[in-house]
Amino acid sequence: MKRFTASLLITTLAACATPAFAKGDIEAGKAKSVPCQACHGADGNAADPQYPRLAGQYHDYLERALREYKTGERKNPIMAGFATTLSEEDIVNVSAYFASLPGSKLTDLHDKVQGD
Amino acid sequence: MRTVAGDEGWPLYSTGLTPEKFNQRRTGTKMTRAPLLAAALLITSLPCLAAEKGDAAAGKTKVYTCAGCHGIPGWKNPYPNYHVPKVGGQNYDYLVAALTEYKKGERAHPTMRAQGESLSEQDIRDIATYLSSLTP
Ligand code: HEC
Ligand code: HEC
Repeated sequence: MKRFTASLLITTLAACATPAFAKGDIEAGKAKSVPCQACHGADGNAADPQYPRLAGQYHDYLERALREYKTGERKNPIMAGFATTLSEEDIVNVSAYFASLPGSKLTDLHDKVQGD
Repeated sequence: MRTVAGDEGWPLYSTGLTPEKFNQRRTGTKMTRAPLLAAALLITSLPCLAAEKGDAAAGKTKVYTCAGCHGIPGWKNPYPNYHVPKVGGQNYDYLVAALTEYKKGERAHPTMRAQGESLSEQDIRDIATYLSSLTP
């Protein structure tokens, strides 16, 4: 029994360590992402350069951006319109969905500056 | 509203329209196949029109100071706690807009505003050219 509890604990911990399970319901987020695809691309890699790519961006940054559009702290008439249609739960789910998409073209600047 | 010089890449902002409405209004048509194709071609050729891009090599030197935050995989902003966004491989026009928004104070993040304020429009174009050229 002790061993079972221990392995259960480990499985739970492992599940939590996997970012995909950490936060948000990806499937529910996918359903909510349909209107977003017109601008941000079906794969989250907006082909039109005026729209940001979302695929593979950090989920907590995406959440923050959406909350800021919703409150008006970040001002953009287009995104304010879309963000206000999202509940807090939708924001978490849709951010988890875009963050989880494969084929991200985004990268941080590790090894990408002069002298690296 | 944006009023950056050479801002033609941003018609949607000044009009506040969705792309469909914007194209309808601009071409005076409902989107049937032919205009749709034309619009698609126009969009594909936009990167060439927006050709007053900057100098990627100059951009590479100018992003040196950015790496302290954007260069460390998984690095977080302290208060509130969230990841510093990935900016490499992001779209050129959007990067120019984002940096210009910080410069003008339209986006509030204090350190990024300070970064934006220190950048000229040429710096922004050079940096956006370099960042958008990066791949994971
Ligand atoms: C009509 C086009 C359009 C649609 C549809 C749209 N967006 Fe956006 N989105 C934009 C534009 C333009 C920006 C950049 C705005 C700015 O400069 O702040 C943006 C920015 C964002 C950002 C910030 C990205 C960053 O790197 O800071 C997020 C997150 C986002 N959108 C999520 C969504 C979600 C989720 C949906 C669907 C519910 C959606 N968008 C629908 C046009 C659109
Ligand atoms: C002190 C840490 C720090 C430094 C240094 C820094 N940044 Fe940032 N940057 C951030 C944070 C945090 C954000 C997210 C801010 C927000 O929520 O608006 C950000 C956001 C951005 C964005 C918007 C990303 C998006 O998807 O909208 C761009 C572009 C950017 N930074 C470019 C740069 C450039 C170029 C430099 C160097 C000239 C730089 N940053 C230096 C911390 C930093």
